[in-house]
This record gives sequence, C-alpha cells and structure tokens, in this order.
Amino acid sequence: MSRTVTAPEGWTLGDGSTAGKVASARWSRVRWLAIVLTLVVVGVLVATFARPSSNSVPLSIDNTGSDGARAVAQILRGQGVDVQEVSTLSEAYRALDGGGTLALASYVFLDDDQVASIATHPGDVVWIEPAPYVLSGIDPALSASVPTVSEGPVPARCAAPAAQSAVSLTDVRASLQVSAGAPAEACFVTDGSATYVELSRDGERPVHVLADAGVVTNGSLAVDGAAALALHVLGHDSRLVWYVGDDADDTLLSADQTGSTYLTPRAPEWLTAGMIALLLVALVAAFHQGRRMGPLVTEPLPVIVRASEATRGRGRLYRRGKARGHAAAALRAGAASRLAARLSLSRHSQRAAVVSAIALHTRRDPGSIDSLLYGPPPADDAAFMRLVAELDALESEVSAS
Amino acid sequence: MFLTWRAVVLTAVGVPIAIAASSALPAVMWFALVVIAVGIDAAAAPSPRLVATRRETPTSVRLTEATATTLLVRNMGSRRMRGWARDAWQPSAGADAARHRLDLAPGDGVRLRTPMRPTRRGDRQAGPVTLRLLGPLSLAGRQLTVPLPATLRVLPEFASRKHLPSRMARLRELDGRSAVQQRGPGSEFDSLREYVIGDDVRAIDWRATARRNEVVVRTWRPERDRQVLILIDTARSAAARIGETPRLDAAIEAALLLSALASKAGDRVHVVAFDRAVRARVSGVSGAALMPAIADRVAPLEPRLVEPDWTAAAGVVREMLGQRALVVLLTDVGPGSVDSGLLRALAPLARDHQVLIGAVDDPEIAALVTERGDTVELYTAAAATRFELERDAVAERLRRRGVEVVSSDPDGIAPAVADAYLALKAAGKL
Repeated sequence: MSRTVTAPEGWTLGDGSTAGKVASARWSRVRWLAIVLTLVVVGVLVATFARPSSNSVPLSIDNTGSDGARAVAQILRGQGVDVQEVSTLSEAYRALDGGGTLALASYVFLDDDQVASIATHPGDVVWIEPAPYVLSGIDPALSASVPTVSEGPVPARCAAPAAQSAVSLTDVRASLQVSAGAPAEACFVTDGSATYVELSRDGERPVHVLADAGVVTNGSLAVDGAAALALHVLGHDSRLVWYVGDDADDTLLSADQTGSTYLTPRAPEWLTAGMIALLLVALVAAFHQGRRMGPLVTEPLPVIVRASEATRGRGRLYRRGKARGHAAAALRAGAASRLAARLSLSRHSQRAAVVSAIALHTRRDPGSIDSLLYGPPPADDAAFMRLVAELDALESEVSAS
Repeated sequence: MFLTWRAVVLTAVGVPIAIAASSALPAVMWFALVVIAVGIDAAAAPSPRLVATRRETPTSVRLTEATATTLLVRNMGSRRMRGWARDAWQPSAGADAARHRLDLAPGDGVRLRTPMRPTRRGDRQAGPVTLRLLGPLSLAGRQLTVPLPATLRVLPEFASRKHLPSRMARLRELDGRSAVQQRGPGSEFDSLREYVIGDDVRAIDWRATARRNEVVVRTWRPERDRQVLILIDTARSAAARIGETPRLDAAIEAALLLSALASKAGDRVHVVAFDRAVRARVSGVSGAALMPAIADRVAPLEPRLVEPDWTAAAGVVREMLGQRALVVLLTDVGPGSVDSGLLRALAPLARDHQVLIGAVDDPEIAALVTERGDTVELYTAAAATRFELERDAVAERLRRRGVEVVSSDPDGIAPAVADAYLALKAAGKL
C-alpha cells in the first residue's frame, strides 16, 4: 500500500512492525526447527511408502537371492504377464477379480477354511511346496510321502502339457502321492512320489501342485526343464497374483469380508476414513483453540504465608522432639497467667501466692494445685493429655465460680 | 493469524464425505481445500496495523469499588473492519469482560468500555491490546498485539471509615467537656466567656472580670496542632497473611482511620512507611488534601521480606519531629521484635515522644491455644500459648519503657488505635 497512514495525536497505530518484518523474524526464529522437522517428515514418508526394491523373504518376487523368485517374475513380466505380490488372501481376491493365476508361494499357516476358499478360485491355482497338512484340503486324492531326491534327470512321463514341455527335471524333490483313479496327472515320479501334479477341475482351470519350490527359485530355475515347467504353469493367464502370506493373515479368498487378523482387529474402511477425517478436524480445532488472543498478563503475586505458620511449625517441632516438658511448661504457664489474671493477681505474683489464691477460691488442696501447675513434666503423651485436661478443668472451675 | 470456529465446522464437513466414500482421500483433499481457503481469507483480511488505539483509564479507584476503562479504536484504513479487540489487564484488576466486537467502517471509531472491579490494592498494570480482524470469508483473519501501557492505582479500601463517625462524636465530646475542664497538661487556653451558672468558680479569670462589668471565665480545650507521626512497618512481619490479607493492609486501614481522626481533631499528621529505608512519606499536607495524599502514597506499598531497621526508623522519626509528638508504630509485636531491635530503638524515642504501638494480631493463634483434639493439637496449643506468653512479655517490657501497646485482630486494629489516640488525647498525654 503506497498510502501512508499516520496516527492521530495521542493514539497508537500498530506496534511499529510490518507484516513482512514479523514474518521474517518468525522465520529466522523457527527455521532450524522447520528444516529438521521437514527432514524428519520426509524421511518417515520415504521409509513408509517407498517399497524396498529387494528383500530377503524366501520365494518373494522381490528377492534377488538364490531362494527368491525374482527371476521367474521378471521373465513372466517380460512376456506381458502382470505379476503382483500380495500378503493376504483378501488382497489376493481383490487383485484376482475372478480370474488370473493364483500362486501360493509361501505362508505360515493356512486353516481349512482358507484352503477351501482358495479351491473356489476359477483360474489356475499353483501350490508351491505345500505343507503336508494342506494336501488333503487341496484334493482328497493327494497325500504326502517321505521326500525323495532324484539323482540325475527325471522324465515327465505324464499327459500334463506343462510337464511335457519341460521334458525332464534334474535334482528335484518328490513327495506327492496320488491315489489311483483320481482326475490327476502325476509327473516326474521318483520311487512312487511325484514332483508335479496337475489336478483338473470341471469347467475351471486346473490346480497345479509343485512339491519342490526349487523349480521357481532364482537359484535353480535354469536347471534342466525347471524354467519351462514354471513358466508354463504360472504364465497361462495375463495376470499372476503371487501370495507370500503374512504371519497374521487369516482372511479368506472371498469378497468383502470384514475379517480381522488374529493379532490386530481390523476396522472397517469407513471407520478408518472417518477417524482420519476427524483427526484433521481435531487438528484445525486445536489451532483454533490454541491461538491465544494476546499474551497472558502476569500478576505479581504476594507472599502467601500464614502468620500462624511459624506457631504451627513450632508445635510440630515440639512433637517431633517429644518435648513434652516444654509443651507442658508452656500450657501450665499460660493457665497460671490466665488464672492469676482471673483472680486479680499481678502478673509478677509468686508461685505460693498464686497457689494459695486458687486453693482458697476452689477449696482444693494447695499441694495438688501446686503439683498441677508447677509439678514435674509428664512422662508420656497420655500423662501429658491428662495434665492438660486437669488444667482445663481447674480453669473452668475458677472461671465458673 | 487466527482461525474461527467456522473453519473447524468447514473441516468437519470432510468427516461424512470420508465415511460415505469409505476412504480418507476425499477428506484429505477437502482439508487441503479448507487450508487454502483459510490462507486466502487470512491474506485478504484488512491489516490490523491500520487500527489506531488509545486507552482512557481512570488514574485511581478505591478497592472494591467499580470503575471502567475505555479503549478507543479507530479504523484508519480504507476497508471495513470486522473482528474483536481485547483490552487485557492483570487478573486482579477485575476486568473480566475484556473482549469486544468490532465493526468499523473506514474512518469510523468506537469507544469500548470495559468494567473493572479491582480485587487487590496497588498499581494494576494494563496488558497489551490485541486486535483480531476477520477476512472476507470469516474463516480466518489477522491478529496483532499492540503494547499500550496504562496503570490503574487501586487505593486502600478504607473500610475502617465506618468507625469514623463514632470516634468523631467522642472527639466532640472531648471538646465540649473542655469548656469546664481545668487547666492542665494536654489542654490549652481557648477563650474567655461570660460566666454561666454551673461553671466551675475556679475557672473565673479575675483579671478579665476586673476589666469588665461581668464575671468572665477562662475556657480550655484539648491541645491542637500536635504532631502525629504514623509509622507503617513494611518489612517481613507485614507480609504474613492473616485471614485473606497481609498484615500490611490492616496497618494501612488503621493508619487511614487515625489520620482522618487526627486531622479532624486539628493535629498535624505525617505518615511514613519504613522497612530498611523510607518507602513512602506524607508530610506537611493538611486539610482536604491529606487523606487523598495518604491513600495515594500507601496504595502501591508492598511488604518486603527483609528485617526492619528500627534504629534507622528512629532516626527518621527524630529528623521529622521537632517537638514532642505522638509516634504511632503499626507493626507486629512478638518474640521476633526483640531480635529485630525494636525495644532497643524505641527506648530513647519513648523518652522524647509518646509512642503508641498498634500490633496486628492473628486471631488464629488465640484459636490454636484452646485446641484440644489429639496430641498433635496439644503440642500446637502449647506452641501457641508459648507465643502468647512471649508476646505479652514483650508488650509488658515495652509498657515499662513508657510505650503504649494496643493489639487487636485485623478488623479491630483500626478502631483500637483510634480509641488509644482518643484516650491519650483525653489524658493530655500528647
């Protein structure tokens, strides 16, 4: 604004600052804090959202080690297959969207319901080295046997097209047994155990079971027919969902489940979204409330010590020091001075005069009055209390008459 | 910059959106929109640096009485200004309704009146004035705090003035009685008048009667134009609280009542507040100007946590007083007074002047003496009894040196000192 405004006489205009000066002063005050905070926030964001390009999870498609499965995923991607790794079955369901290939690469534990839900998938299902306990859930015809490792190449010897394209496998493990009469092709059989079984289903894509994960790992993909078998099994559809199960995954391969992991309850989506929105509202409300309208005006506070505090403190000292003698002497002296005043004696009266005046007034024995007012200090707290009670009684007796 | 509740409500619109969409993203985007709107609104608000302000504050007010301070606000810019102004004061100034709405057209001004009811004696400082001007959307605005110093002196309440009429009546009684009073110490010649039946025949002035055809008597009145010096102790003992107020406030009440009474009685009043140095001094003021002067000087007094220097105080008293005078010392008498050298300093002073000590007692001590619950209370009662005995002993020693000692609780000290003054006057000891 080019117009200069001046304050009328006796008025104050602004506080001598400008908006720019205030802003730059504030900035120079908080800039280090702001820089550090920005770095921290950026770091946290990067750590949270940037997916690591590789990891060491066995059979993960991001694992470049010999036990990883990055090679097969890269080859499939090169062939135009959309490969996606998921960690829960519900995620897998959303990614599959009713079609595509589901590969179950690794998991910690799958219960019967989860295995049954996987069986409902209409596309190819590829089990890679399934645990023995899930085999009966995959198909009743399957069972586990003691693993045998072949020495030298094992020919396919079956009608499954994938196995036929692979021709033979070398140094693979076989541990699948298929009962006779089942609609299954057992291939690469060593000592009665198969390495690869293709289970055909009515109207749906078959279920493939690989007894040896080595067929898909980076380390042994290039050995003999492993690559041909793996690519043939996994690459039928243009979409491959690679399931590397989370420890806590207990979701099913089905639609819109409101399941939760067994470790953390999972809130519904709308609740989470509402909470985040409420958090933002709280942030704004905090800023609205937190901005004070001007600074607090301080009050120079006066001393707040009660005048009687010293006396109370002295009483506590008497008690802590068990100064019964001092305390009793003070109370006796007080009683004596009040009695003397009551009986119109001078403040400086002698002990005998006070005692005889009281004795005369109350018709009590002078000896007992003398020992009450000037006797030895009490031995314990009970005696002290008795003494005070007697002093009070004497005083009230004198003032009553 | 500041936000209004409207900004909060606007942000809250994002909650149902997020719930309906089952995703936080719309809420975050809505929040970003609100932030942008708030930023634009704050930037578009008129500058509070174009607001001229001025305070009109009363210079002083008596404690517990209501007053008001005025804040004048004028729009010096070319845009309409809406918002609030806060006229901040220290909490004990009692300016509770300090926030005012502003709605000013360009060039317009407004007087904002803030009622005040101070709750503490002393100088109450004003805080800064804070201006908040809203932006066009009323979502946010700009805030500026303008330092605008002002002081309101809160004078002592002088609640003891309710005792003044009765003491004035006693004073007049004293005056009236003096017509037949014999000549003696503390009285001075007033006038000659015709003898009426009932007058003491010993008062007849024979020389004047001889000059006239009628019998003339001399009349006497209590001495006037005596000096009364009130010394208020502002040291350690004045800081102790008795009930809700410090001992100093009770001493100030007593000083005010005594000043009013003594100045009405025709005496010359000096007031000195002292701890290790003179903190306030009123001297050489008389008539109608006296009471306002005393109230104004003693109002900002605060007790200090120092040991009083009684020897220096006695020196100040000696320096201010030429002739014999009444020195009233408002303090606390107790075992501590002996330590602080009160007895030693007062002994020579008591030879030259009439010294009266007004001691403000703590009624709680007397209550503690009679406590008889458990052993804890017994020990406390013993301590309180011990304190009372020691205090009585100190008072006794002061009396033996010719010092008058009156003591009372904070409410009773002012009339007690006034009565002691009247008694001394009646006895002609001034």
